[in-house]
Amino acid sequence: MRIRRLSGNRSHPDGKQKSPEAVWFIFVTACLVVLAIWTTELRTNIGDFFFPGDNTDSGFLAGQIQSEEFSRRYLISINHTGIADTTATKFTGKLILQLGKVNGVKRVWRAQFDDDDMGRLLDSYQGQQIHLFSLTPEKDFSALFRPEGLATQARTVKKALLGPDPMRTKSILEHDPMLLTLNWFKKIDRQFNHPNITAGYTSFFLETESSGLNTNAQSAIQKNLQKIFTQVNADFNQAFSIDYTGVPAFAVKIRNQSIKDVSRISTLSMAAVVVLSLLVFRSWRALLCTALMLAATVAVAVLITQLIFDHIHGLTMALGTTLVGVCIDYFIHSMVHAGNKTGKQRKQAIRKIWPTLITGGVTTVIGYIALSISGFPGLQQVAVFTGSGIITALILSRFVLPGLMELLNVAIMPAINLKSFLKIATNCGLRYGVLVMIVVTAIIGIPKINWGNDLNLMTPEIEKLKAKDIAIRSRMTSLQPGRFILIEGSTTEQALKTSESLLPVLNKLQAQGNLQTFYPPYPWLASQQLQSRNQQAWDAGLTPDILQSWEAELTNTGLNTAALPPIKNNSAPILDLDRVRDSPAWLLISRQFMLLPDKTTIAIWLGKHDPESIRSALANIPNSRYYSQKESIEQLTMAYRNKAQFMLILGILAIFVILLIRYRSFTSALRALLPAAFALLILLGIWGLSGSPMGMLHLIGLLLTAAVCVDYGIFFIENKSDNTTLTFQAITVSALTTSVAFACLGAAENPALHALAWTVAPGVLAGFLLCPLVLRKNNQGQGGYLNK
Amino acid sequence: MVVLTPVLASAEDTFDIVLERLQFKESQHFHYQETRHLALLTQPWVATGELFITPEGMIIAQQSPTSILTKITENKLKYFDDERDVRRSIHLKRPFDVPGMAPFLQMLFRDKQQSSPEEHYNISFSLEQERWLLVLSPRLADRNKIKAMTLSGSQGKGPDFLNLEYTDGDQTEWKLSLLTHGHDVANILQKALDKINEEDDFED
Repeated sequence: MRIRRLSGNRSHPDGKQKSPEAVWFIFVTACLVVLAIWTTELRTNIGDFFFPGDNTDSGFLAGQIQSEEFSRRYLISINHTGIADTTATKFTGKLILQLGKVNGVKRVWRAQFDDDDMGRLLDSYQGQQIHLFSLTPEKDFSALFRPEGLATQARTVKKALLGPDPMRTKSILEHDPMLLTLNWFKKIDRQFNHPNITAGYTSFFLETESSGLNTNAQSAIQKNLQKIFTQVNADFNQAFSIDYTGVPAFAVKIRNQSIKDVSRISTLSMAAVVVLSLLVFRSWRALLCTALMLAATVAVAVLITQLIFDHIHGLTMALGTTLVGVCIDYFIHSMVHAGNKTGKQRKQAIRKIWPTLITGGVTTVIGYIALSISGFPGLQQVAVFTGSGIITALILSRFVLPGLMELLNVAIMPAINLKSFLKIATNCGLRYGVLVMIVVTAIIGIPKINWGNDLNLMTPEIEKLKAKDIAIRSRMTSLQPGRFILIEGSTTEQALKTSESLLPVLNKLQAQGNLQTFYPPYPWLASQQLQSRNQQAWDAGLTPDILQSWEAELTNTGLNTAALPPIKNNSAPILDLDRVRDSPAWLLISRQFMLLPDKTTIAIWLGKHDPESIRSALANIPNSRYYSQKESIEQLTMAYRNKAQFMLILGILAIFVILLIRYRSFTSALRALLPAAFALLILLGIWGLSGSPMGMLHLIGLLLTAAVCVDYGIFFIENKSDNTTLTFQAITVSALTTSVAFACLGAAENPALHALAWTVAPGVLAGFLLCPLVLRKNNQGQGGYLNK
Repeated sequence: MVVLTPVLASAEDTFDIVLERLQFKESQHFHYQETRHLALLTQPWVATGELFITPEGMIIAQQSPTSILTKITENKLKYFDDERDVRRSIHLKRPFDVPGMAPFLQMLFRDKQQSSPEEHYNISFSLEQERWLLVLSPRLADRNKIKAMTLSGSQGKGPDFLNLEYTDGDQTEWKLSLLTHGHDVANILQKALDKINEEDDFED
């Protein structure tokens, strides 16, 4: 291929007949761009992009991420390894105090409750000791009311009075003369005394006023957090280090990276397309014309996506910048065919190629529609964004471009001499040699494809953040991160009942050594049914004989019955979720609940465990299942990949059907597909031989490659201008700009975009180079490439 | 407000001398007897054992009527009841703010406090029959419901008696006898802790 001197712009006799529509177009484009910038809400919420709402497991994750309360929290960990405990306490206390004063910080609290918190907790549960007494109230109250039970309880009262906090005991005894609160407290005590908590770290929570997904506010808070930490640390000779995690930390990191990627890719791809256009056309007017068309196209795509989804995701914008590379094909193809004509001739030239553009556009849109039904929520946005952009580009090419070229006095002729290439490419020996090489590469390479799990690639830096998150959380709890039991119910009551029915099973697993520990909602909260049963069992057991026996046991134990309030029927109201939400307990257990209007999901956190034992134990308990975040994401990835594979095949079939309808010839339809098919074969073959992992994103890239390359096949075989060289020139410019635009994705930090870059860019180049190699002139039909 | 009884002779203890003497300087090992007078008990309850004061805090090794170990540091109270297999760990929001023992510990570890005892307590000092006497009463309603703490000792010596009076009328008395002080205490304490650590993760 050789670039020769360009013909440049020319004035023409009809140059003064400016199109008023074109002037209006420029005005409307300016308005659309302003409107798009003004109204666009750019989001970087990872939950939106990754988790479909139709799957409960992923829905729980998405719900957790999107949960207002949960999303506002940071978990902060201070490393004080090798520093005296007392110094660390001073430092942490000072830091917490200072952080609590930061604008936008709602509250800061330690991961472990202190004595005051414990007092508030006990106060908030005052009167609930009977309702929450037991999972088997009839049996346990009966045991309590036996003489030995009463004797034990009387000894418990005495021991508590003689324990480390007699004043608190006395305070509880005023409302709970049998000190049943202690039974409750023993059950929850393990929540405060996790085994295996890493020494040398202190963890605490920070909750912000604004949502964790409000990245502007969170960014400011993170800056303040770092600033205050540095200030306080300066008083301690910089002896401490800080780590923090949580949805706001993830959100800000991802936003920053998305913004950086969007601006980097868009700048780079714009610059590359400008340079390429100038190199090929050497016409600023042509460039201005293309830029105006692209601005209008992108603005319409943004507005339509915003209208449908109420927001645009950062990754959509990043992927959407490739729209420039796809849509520019139609403008360039039209401009090349109409470039050396004027007035009516220009309109006629574009009208002539319009069916070809439509066919190309429809096949590309089909590729994106296939993407949208792949089940990956983020790609639905990308499909709408790019699909609406392509349709806009086609309409503009047909109805606006001729007038705009007229207005801007654009007359171009790409100065790329492709005659030599076309001559070499049509050489039979070379043609068959290349084709055989492609087929052999595919046969050897495709079976070696290494299918990898690349969903994690979609979230930039997410693996590092996740590893940090797990490390921080493991310092404060013995929980197995990302593994828990999920329980569903149409109401909270139903979910609580199911969780209560699970507890004997989990106790058994614990006794068998298959489960180290677990954290159910009980005894923080019990179903109303269980609370009522406790109440009834208590009231039924309080006979005059029992009251008398209790007094006797108190006396035997050395307790003064006259100073203790009598035991009586319980009149406290049943504990409900709203009251728990108002209590300090909610700080500890809120993450275990996902409350939706029509469904409640409860998570039971697990300590070290044997997954298979848990799974089989839960097999017969409806509405409960073992959940592993890792396995769930792997399954989700596999499901996405399988669907993407299916969509790739379906997309290509759909494109073939469209071509069949258009050409009414099986051979022609097949021939239009051939460059794309061979491009895919060589990509798959090389990918397999390289051994690099290939996943859903690469399949999406292949689908896009097919959709774009089919355009070139169509343009080439239809050859509406009856000028193969001119058609191939147009395709060359289109393919170069598309390749360059996609290759620019490789400059992103997000590795997901790399997968697309290194699939689509070489695929498109291969597709266009293969057009003259694969397609033979047959002298039968229009343009000489179609079978009629 | 600090109410100081006039000092009769220069050789006698003064408030400042006693306060200075109370502050931790070296490890001490006491035998103690604790007596709780509670309205809820028909008889006063008596416990005996050993009490250690170390640079980190206090360790109370109760020996009778049951074996119980309590370790108090600046920010934590750990309680281990061997007989009932009860382990409690209480995080203290303020340094040495242990229920019941707070005023005494805060005077012992004054250098670790954010404020002086005088800010929180009315303190009166007196000398009676060759003994010094400190009485602390909270300036504001005390979270631990202490009405007054009395600390006393022989002239020229450390404390050997502590009485805590609660707002509800209950009282707890501690009688202390110093056994050893200095480096030996660390060895004795270590032996006691080693014995416990063989069976439990009592230490941090």
